[in-house]
Amino acid sequence: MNEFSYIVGVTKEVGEGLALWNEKAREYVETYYQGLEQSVRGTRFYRGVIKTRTITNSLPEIEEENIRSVFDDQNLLASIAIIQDTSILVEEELVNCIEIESIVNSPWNLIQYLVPERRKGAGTAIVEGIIKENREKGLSRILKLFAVPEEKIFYSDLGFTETDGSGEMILGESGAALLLNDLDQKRSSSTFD
Amino acid sequence: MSQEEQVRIFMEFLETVFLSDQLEMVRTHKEKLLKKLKSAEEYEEFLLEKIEEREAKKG
Repeated sequence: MNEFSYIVGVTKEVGEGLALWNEKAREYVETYYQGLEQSVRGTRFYRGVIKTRTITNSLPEIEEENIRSVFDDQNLLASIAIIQDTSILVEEELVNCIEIESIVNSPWNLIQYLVPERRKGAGTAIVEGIIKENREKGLSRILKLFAVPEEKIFYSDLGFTETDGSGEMILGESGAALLLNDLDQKRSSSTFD
Repeated sequence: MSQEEQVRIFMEFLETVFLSDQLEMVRTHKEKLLKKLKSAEEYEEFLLEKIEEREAKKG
């Protein structure tokens, strides 16, 4: 199981990481898609490039405290997320939770071709980091996000459940606890492998 | 996001020079922040003057 370090805010390393993502993504487009937009269209990598571009362009305007990221064992930026405090209705009561507004992985974790930089598990690691951070602060561990159809399976596997068919997905307190427990168990078993 | 918008963003990614593009964006944002700071400082100065005026009247 790959391990990642969790970072709050925009550090110099995050800026460097995004510049590298851009450089590598352009390299992949040239190498694997002949530099053509039409050849990339519809892929996970294509969606990732668009999300990254959207996040990067809005980065100066986003409050530092709303940015989270994870770095892999090569010290490369592996995933970045924008979060915000919000609330949801649980059994007719408003409950505080964290909304993951946007989350995107590095281009080498999204491209369908196997590249040497790839380290699986960055998306899971950033969700885990957000849950743990809130637990340590004594805040709600409930997470909310809006997933496009192609991403729903990933979030379902983490324990998120769909609410109203709009794409909104929630990871409740018990789901968050189960996810942390599951990841701890995976870590313990990989220690003995 | 519409497909046209996705294509536009992707083409922007392919055609722009990332570092200089980002530098321009950061500078624009910095300008905005400096204007905000200036305006906050002016307001702060105004409030201090008014407080001083009132205190002077009381005294």
